[in-house]
Amino acid sequence: MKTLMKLADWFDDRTGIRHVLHEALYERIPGGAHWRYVWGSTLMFTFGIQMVTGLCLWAAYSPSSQTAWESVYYIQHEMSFGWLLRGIHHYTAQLMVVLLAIHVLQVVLYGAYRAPREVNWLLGILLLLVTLGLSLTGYLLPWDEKGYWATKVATNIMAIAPGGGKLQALVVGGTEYGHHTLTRFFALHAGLLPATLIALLVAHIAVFRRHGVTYSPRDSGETTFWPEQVCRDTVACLGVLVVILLLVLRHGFGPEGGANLGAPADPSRSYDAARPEWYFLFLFQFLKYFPGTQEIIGAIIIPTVVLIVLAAFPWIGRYQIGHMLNIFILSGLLLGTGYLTWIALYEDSKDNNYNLAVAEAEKNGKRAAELASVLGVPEGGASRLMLEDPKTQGPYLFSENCKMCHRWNGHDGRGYPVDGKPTASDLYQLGKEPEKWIRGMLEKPDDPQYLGNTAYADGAMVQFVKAHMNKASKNEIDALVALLLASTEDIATEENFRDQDVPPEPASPQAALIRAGLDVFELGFENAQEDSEAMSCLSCHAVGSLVSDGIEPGPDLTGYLAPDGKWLTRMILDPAHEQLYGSHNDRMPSFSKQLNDQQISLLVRWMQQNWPKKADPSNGQ
Amino acid sequence: MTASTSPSQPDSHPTDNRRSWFAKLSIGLGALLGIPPLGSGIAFLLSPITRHKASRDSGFQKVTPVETLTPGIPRRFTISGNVTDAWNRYSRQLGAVYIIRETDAADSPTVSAFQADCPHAGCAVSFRSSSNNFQCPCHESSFSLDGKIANQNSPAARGLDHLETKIEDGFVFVKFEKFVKGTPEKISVS
Repeated sequence: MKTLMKLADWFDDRTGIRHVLHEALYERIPGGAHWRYVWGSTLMFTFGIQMVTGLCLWAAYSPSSQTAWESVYYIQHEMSFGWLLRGIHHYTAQLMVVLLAIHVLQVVLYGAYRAPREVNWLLGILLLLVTLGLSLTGYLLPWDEKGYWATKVATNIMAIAPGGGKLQALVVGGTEYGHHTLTRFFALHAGLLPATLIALLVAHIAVFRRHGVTYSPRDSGETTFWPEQVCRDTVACLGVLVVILLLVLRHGFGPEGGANLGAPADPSRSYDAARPEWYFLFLFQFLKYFPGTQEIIGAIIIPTVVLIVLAAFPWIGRYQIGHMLNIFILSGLLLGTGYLTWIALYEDSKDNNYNLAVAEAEKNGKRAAELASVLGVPEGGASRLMLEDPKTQGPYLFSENCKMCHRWNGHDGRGYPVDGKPTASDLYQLGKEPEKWIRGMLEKPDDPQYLGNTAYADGAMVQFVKAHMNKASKNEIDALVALLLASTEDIATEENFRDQDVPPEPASPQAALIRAGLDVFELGFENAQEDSEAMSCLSCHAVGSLVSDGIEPGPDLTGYLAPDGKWLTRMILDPAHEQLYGSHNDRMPSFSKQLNDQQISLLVRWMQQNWPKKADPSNGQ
Repeated sequence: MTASTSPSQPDSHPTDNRRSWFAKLSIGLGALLGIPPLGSGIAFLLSPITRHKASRDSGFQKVTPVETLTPGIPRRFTISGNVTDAWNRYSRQLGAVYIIRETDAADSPTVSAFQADCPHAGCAVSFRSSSNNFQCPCHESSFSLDGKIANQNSPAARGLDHLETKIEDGFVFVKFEKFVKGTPEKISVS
């Protein structure tokens, strides 16, 4: 202990550290310690959190358009407590904005901005702007859809200011958003802005120490910063920390909790859920009131005027009436921004398409993380994973190509309602539950889900099913269903056995059903065979090598609902093919020239739910 | 600077329990405040140790037909394979090996293979036909064709690392591995 004291004495002798600490801790606080003085300290504390968590995140973040999302995904989902670290960083940034507002309000209410504290007030405004700049630049860094689009909007607004185009190019790193947008934003976010903030903060605190706290005449007694004010400050910081942790943990303890990570940015895909962070929503809402040519007024001129007025507060506040005016202006500003924020949130909550877009974005974000985890990210980056994923692309392809006539469980594939009446079947069951589909078709073929909306609503098929299906036994239906669900290869196998004089035992119950199905298909239902006008499926359809003798045959049903999706693929490529609907084709266009093979494959695999899943990494790849 | 003669707390009054209570609470809470950011940050930075995952293909890899090898003359081959590099998973070069065909007999050829990384500090060794040995460009180690250290002033702690080989259907297969550098023992890095 003695040696330690000696060492401390030596160190103090060489550095004067005790004097500095003493100066720092035993600053006199005339008027005593107060809870209202805690806000500056909570901001210091949150900035400290940002420095610590930010530096750690820096050790794992990679700023480029092919690695930004990917490295953030890795932070969030793979690294130990990465989700917690990132969650703390994300929500602390949000809370800093709230604490800033409280700090400013407190300073204005208590007149702490008035002479001789003008310089500190101005330093405070600069600190506010730098903090907002940190938020804005940080929002882009994950390079997910929402960060990408929000930043695109923000920087495009920048461009409408005089000379803004050049400024935009400087910030974005060119005319396109890409690698250099990220490197530049990262340099701002982790370099220039924090360095500026630290410099301003040092000045802010130094000037604060020069003038001391602003106490009111009612306050009596005097104390020192340590320990009474420090204790209040720490308790307040603890409160702040609890709020941060509650926000981080509200969705769970693990990668599903913490900050949200959307799907990787895709410049080609419209992102209807694009919104800035909540603390910029008021500006977003405000701009709605300015028509295109006057946007500069709302986006640049008015905010600049507001800043100038704020900067002039100490001079307006020289007189008591000016001080009252300042309080009035600031309250008005805060109420106004609060009101605009509320309207923006309220309008969004009523906007069905916006809510669907948010749900879709959420789903895509989860899917991107799942794919990155199951398949690993290829060299082209995670957006390639999404582009090659049936589960992600299917809904868009269906919506772009099929929803004009078909529906998917009543919607457009993506979940949006479609105007007008469908003119073809709802394909949801066909893909997802093919057995249910074919049983439904054999029971009620003119249901709108099946043929009800098509030209065949009262056609031969519907009439045949209505007239004959009541004669079918359960076994016969099961056999037909098995046949229609079977692959081309399985049908061929059973056909070969069927032709032999002494057919071998079927390999499985399923094979037995397929073989029986061929009989039913060819000969019709047993109960109806005496009827001289009776028909069978074969009267109109072919299956395997059984060829219909009908004059105008319907589609060949070999492999109709097989999981390989080949029938569906042929149908999309050329529905009027002679083995499909031929000359009876009901308005369905050939997509062979509109979609490429990959797109058709993605569409079919999506319809049949054949996509890589977490449980089975080999599936589909 | 020895101005403050009683450096502990000149302004503290021993009787003022209130202040001492405040001080203790501040220190206690202050320590608590650091835990979430520092704790998660440290756990995060330790991820490479706490979450170790296999990061590349192991096992035998097909390299070359035996007949392309001239007995006694080492040939260098690049080994490629699937790599998991943090979030990325793709195929790329894993490293290089030297393969030497030992016997001339066409019906029962034998081969040996070396990791091309120097076992000292990991520089890439290369075969010099003039001296008929392997040379490391960094610290002047040389290794004979059987992998043993060939110069006395070599800083390497062991000879070149042998890799497992097998011959199937006329092709040489090598089990590509990497080893900890600088140790006298050969310790595999998986």
